[in-house]
Amino acid sequence: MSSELDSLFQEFNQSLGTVKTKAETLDLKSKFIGPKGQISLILKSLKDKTAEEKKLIGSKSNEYKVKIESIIGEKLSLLENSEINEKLSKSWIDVTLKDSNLDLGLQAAGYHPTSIVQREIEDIFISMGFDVLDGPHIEDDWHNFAALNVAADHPARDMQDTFWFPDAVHLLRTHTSCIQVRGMEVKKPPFKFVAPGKVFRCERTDASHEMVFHQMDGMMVGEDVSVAHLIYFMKTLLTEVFKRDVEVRLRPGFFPFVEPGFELDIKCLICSAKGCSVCKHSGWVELLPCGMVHPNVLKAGNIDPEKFTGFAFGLGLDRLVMMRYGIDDIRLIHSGDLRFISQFKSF
Amino acid sequence: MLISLNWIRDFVDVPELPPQELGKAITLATAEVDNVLSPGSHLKTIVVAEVLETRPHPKADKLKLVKFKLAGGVTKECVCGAPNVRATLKVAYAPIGTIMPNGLVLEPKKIRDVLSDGMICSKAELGIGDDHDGIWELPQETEIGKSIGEVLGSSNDVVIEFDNKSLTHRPDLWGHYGMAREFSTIFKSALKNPFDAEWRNSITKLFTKDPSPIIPEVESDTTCLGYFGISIDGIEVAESPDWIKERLIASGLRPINNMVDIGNYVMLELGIPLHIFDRNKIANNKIRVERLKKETRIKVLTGQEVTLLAGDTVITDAKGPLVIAGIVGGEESGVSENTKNIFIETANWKAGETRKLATRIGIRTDSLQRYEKSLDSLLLERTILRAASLVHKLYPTAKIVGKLEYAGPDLKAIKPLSIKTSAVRIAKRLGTEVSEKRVTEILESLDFKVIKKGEELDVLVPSYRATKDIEFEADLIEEVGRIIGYDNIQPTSPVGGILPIRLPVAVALNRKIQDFCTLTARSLEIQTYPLVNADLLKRAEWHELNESLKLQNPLSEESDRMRPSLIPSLLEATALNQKTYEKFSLFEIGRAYLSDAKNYSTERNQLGFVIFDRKNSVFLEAINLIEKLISFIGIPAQIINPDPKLKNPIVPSEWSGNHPIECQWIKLMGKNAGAIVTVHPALLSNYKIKGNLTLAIIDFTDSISQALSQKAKYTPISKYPASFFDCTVVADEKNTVGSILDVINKLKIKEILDTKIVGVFPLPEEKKAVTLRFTFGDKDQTLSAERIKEMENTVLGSLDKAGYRLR
Repeated sequence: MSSELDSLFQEFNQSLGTVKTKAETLDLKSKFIGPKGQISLILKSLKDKTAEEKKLIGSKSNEYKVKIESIIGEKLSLLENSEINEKLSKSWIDVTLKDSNLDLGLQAAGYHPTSIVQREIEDIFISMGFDVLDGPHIEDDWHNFAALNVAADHPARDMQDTFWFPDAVHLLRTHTSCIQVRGMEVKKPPFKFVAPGKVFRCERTDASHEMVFHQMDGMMVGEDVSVAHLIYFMKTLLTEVFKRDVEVRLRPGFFPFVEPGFELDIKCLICSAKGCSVCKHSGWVELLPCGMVHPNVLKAGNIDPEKFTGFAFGLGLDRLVMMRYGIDDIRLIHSGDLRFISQFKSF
Repeated sequence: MLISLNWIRDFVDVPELPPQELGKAITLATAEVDNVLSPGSHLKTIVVAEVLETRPHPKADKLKLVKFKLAGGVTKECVCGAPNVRATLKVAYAPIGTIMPNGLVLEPKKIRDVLSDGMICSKAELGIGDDHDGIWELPQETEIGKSIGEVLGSSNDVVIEFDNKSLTHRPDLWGHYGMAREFSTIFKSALKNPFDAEWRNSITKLFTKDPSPIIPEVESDTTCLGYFGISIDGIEVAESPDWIKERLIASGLRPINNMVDIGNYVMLELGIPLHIFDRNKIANNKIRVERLKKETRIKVLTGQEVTLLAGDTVITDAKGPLVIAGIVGGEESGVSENTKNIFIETANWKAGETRKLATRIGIRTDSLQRYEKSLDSLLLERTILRAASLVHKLYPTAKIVGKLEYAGPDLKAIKPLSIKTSAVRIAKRLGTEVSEKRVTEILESLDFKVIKKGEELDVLVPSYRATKDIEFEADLIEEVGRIIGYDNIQPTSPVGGILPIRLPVAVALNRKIQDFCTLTARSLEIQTYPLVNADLLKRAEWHELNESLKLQNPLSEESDRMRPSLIPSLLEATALNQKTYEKFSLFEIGRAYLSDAKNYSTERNQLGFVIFDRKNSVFLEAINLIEKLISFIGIPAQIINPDPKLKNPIVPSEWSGNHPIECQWIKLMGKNAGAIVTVHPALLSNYKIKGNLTLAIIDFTDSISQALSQKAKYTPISKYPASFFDCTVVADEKNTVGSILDVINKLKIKEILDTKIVGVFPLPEEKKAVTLRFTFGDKDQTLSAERIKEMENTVLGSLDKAGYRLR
């Protein structure tokens, strides 16, 4: 009987090779190990046999039963998988038919380059404890000039620089420095803040001149604020913005609202100070005016210049944007042209 | 401004430094040097050539190919565009490698495909004139091969070009002597004083006992701060000697004749302008400074005729105004070739008023450029004596008639300004160590007097620095700082308390909107001009032309007023971009400007959002995004049907751009603060826009304080199951699903947790079927079958009553 079992198993294996479907597999299963299957029949016929035979044949039958069961299981899952794959292959899609390959109009989206740079610089200052302020674009004489120590006869008040409204009091702010005045109105020293925003100049426009552009002023006032502190913040800012160590230098510069006033130059990043057209062969690029807040400006802000000192600076944001992205025409900033804007896309 | 180093060397020994080093040292300590030029250097390499022939450029009508001969019979060819280039002409030829006066190095260059071997120069290109029109025609007898330097007999001067803006606050640096003082401090080399008492005596001894022919008068309320005059007889107007001409040219002025040149020479040397009159042309020998009584026209030296108003300060003779004070002289009283007797004037004028007048009449002169910076009246006398001494030097036979005359405010009343400071305070403010000895040394070298009083220093400011420049201790700190060198100050982080800082809500809101619009709405951020014009607003058929926010002095009519809304600018931007793209979205966060009776103007912070699609309607896409945006920024908001009875200040009902159906209003904090509108095709045709444009405007100005503050609150998840009920009702084709949902919402049954539309399909006779799904539930209990049935009946009953019968 033992040999009968061996040949049954052989027969099973042979039949298995011809089975194509789940139904046939299940038929095969019941033919061999089902309740009325051939192995069950053999087991049933054991009742007349000796105990020794029962033990031998019984365990062998079970061994084959388990084997067949597991082979059937494997076969079934194999057939199931190929059935699913067959189904999937019928629902085929073109995986390269994605938006970026389709004519769906403009798919790019993203921030204006000025926003990108402005936000980055705001974040640098916020990380150093500076607040962020803004004020109106339509300013008055006091905030834009008088409070900033720009005397009534200062050339900056001339018609060629400032857009005036007919009442001769209101104007379009010519710099974000007026936010220094607004900041002093609402803050008590010590304080420090930056003030980004649009500014306006009555200037003929060309590739490097605009009547509307962006600045960011900064101001720090406290006891014993010094030139050394100013240099520290400026150097830190520029190192963060340009993401490398930059060399800066201060030289005398005249601005009515600071004393002493400085021009801050950075070592030319284009030619590494060897001399090129960008730095006019001097090795240095003039980047931002700054200085110690003029006593008259502190007074105008109701701050005692005997007790407090401060520094202030003004940064041309458009200039930084143009430097970073290699933009050659400042008029693109306000052009609203998506052929330009879409180049700074977020995705 | 141009400064001649040779001239500076009259007053101070300057170390021999390479030009770049010299420029750097002065830039770091005093004022910005734009350029250090050696005017002679290029003139050595540029040589005389003779043109042999010219022929047309094969590719450009206006250019010629010029063949010319150099020394030793060498011939070359270059491209030239000058109309006057012709055979046999002697010209100035700059070979490849020449460093031109503008700093550019001449390189081999193809001009319209033809290689030009160097260049034939105009006077302007050589830096010796301003004639740009043609090449310089040298005299025929000039020897070929000779350098232009030899031809001109030029010296080896070095010229330092300053950025005028950086000298705005330093009237003392507008002459060589003042500048020499800076050199003396920077290079620690003593300043010579050739204008001492002995020198003064050498001139005053030439005064005569005769009565002065002209004794100037100064009205008390004019802009005059002091007026000196002196009369000299027996001069002869001629060409100036070379030493004067050379220095004028180096400083950028054109020599005219010896009298005019002496005036300019002294101005360039001492920084104070002068005027020399032909005394025979002064009616009745009367010189009077006064304010004009009535409007007057005057022809000035520059050839212009200008109108002066009553009240303008002028210098008059018996007949009328001769000179516009501080600005320019009249044509008639100036020196001419026949002049024999002169009157030299050196005066000082109030800066502000003089500058304003010059701006009004549109004249800028070298003299105004100095007066507008506030000059020192105490320097006037030295200046006029210097001029008299130069006249005497040129014409030892000329005779001063009478003596130096003065009129105007009492100069003795000008008291020296004294400022207290201390080395400790200076060091603290600069943030670097500096000794009292060094402070004193620097200030004294700059002509300040320093008196030590314990720890304090009393500093007396030289009068010529005290007119506007030096007022406070801060100004003294600058003097010390710039000379010790700001570069020598170590960057230092401040120490102090650490306080948290938070983005202001307005900035945070802008950022959130930007983030949403770019990342979720897939839009591109643009910026458009806040300045617009009437046409742009009219094209948008905008009701408000903002006439009250027009600029007094616009650059052009293109941008003469503030925009009252973002919409017209966004329409322009769409019109531009639809030429390139079939579908796009853009947005701007910007301001709209409106006049305001109380505060003059008000600025509205708005988001303008646009979707454009050539083919398909984009209204639903837009409204879906805006709904999500509003939820994202957390301001209480509603989107409602437009109500013609109510005011929407952001997009008025009357705007012709409103689509009759695709228009919804946005309410923020209960106030109409925006709209989502598909722009009417008729309005789009004003822009030649073909397609679908939906725009949304949201005005956040009044709700900024509420933004980002709304907090979500957790409610426990209900333990009791919800049940669902679907029904399909019939509605007119043009009933909105919103109005069907409204019927249910009005019931305000708290167990109806949600009502949504499952599907809409058309029916005949302009009807449609709408399938609704209700979610019923109660957080405290399982709803009973009876309660559910009751609610089903209620909703069906209400729908039926509203005209939506069950299908």
